[in-house]
Amino acid sequence: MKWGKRIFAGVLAVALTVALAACGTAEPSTSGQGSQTAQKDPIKIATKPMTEQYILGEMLALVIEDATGYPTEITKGIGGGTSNIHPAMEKGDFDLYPEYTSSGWAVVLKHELKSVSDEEMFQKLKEEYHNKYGMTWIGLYGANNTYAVVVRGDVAREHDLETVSDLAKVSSGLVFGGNPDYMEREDGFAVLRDTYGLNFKKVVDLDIGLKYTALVNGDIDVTNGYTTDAQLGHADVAVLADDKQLQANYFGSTVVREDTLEEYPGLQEALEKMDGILTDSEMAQLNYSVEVEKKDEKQVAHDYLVSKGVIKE
Amino acid sequence: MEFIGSIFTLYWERADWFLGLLGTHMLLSGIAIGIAGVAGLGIGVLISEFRKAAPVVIGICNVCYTIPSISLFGLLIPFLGIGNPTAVTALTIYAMMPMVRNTYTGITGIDRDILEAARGMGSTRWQILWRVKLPLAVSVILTGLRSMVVMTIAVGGIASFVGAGGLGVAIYRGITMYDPAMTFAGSLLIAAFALLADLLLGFAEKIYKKKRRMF
Repeated sequence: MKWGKRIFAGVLAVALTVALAACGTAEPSTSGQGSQTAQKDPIKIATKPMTEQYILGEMLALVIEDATGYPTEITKGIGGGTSNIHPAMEKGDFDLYPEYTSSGWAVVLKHELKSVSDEEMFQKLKEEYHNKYGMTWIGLYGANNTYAVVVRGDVAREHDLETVSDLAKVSSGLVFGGNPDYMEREDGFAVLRDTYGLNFKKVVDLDIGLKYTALVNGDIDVTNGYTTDAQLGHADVAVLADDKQLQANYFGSTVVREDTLEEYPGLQEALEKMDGILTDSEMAQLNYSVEVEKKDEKQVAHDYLVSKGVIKE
Repeated sequence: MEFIGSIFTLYWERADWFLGLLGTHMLLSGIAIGIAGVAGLGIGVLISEFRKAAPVVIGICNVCYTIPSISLFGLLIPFLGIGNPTAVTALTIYAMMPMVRNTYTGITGIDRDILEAARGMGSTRWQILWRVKLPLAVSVILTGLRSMVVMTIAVGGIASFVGAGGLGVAIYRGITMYDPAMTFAGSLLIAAFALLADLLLGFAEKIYKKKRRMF
């Protein structure tokens, strides 16, 4: 009796395994019993703690849901951005997130910035992410969110500032405020300071969300901004030209786990629809709609994608 | 072990930076402790003399105390901008509660018979306060002071969020850079500073009590 049961159980187990393998699904074994039509787990999207990423996250979710019908789940605003999201991606806590080419290149792969051309960088990013992490990069949105040195309008006019080199001549009377990761990272403040010989009266660490408020209020005079920042072109601030070509390019793209692509057929094609849909100024305008005009980020993302014909109304 | 090693490497390589942060941290929390210590003691004494005002004042202090520290910093930005004044103000608001409350509790907890005896001997209101009430309440007040000092030094770590200096800068950079050693290095200095301050106060308390033969 006892042995009979065990043998029966063993045969059953083998049969089930074979049957499952034959199905060839990428379903995790725990839910192997579930039928093919069962709802899949939501695709988990992460974003960095900034408005632009919230909008991009919503866009990715909308494109995926529109093209494939898979449910999605967005976790917005992971503190620290790349340095905290990438480890979570490796663990499988997230399936995909919007990333910038040079951030992946320098922060994750630890390569020298600007050591290769932009095209070459994108190819190598795909290669090395595939080999090291089982992830890939899909599509370039078109916007280049790189660093910009931003000064308050009245400071720029008073000293007739156009380039960062102009700023160096008057920096000893000005206060610089930057977000903590920019102040600390190797390609951040230290390089800017040394390249241009900047010597500020005072340098403070500031939360990224407070920089423009502090700049406009006069608490700081200079900050590190980004080329797609909402306030550029709207607030009384001036972007100084990077006349020594210090900054690398940070093109927006999607980093995704390859096993997720296998598990969700059609996902790759959906993500490719994001290719080339944004310019710097369009991105800045979207950021402005959410950040300053206080519009809902999902609505803003939806309206934009519809206007570009990427998703259906 | 490697982790501890990397913390000490950080201290060694960036000693000036950490010392600067520690200095700012001491200054910011020191000013807040000074203001809250004096003002909190004064308010505590006042409301124990004029008891009708006590529930209102303590209520206000309690409400301020329950605002999460990070949002208190955020709430002050529209009024004070970013930087050290905001940080000191927020820390002071926090530090008030333990001071006011402990002073009040210490004074109101004194045995009525003692006060009756003092009055019977012809002491004035001022003499009763200065010679009887405060010396008897000193233990409770000092307990409040010590917990306030430790708390202010610890909460000071969040001040960097609003652009103030202090060891929070190291913690915040550590968090945003996924560099636990940096975060730990900042936290360790804050903890050491708080412990040291508490020890010194404990020592001062002992000397004071010995002098007044309170043991």
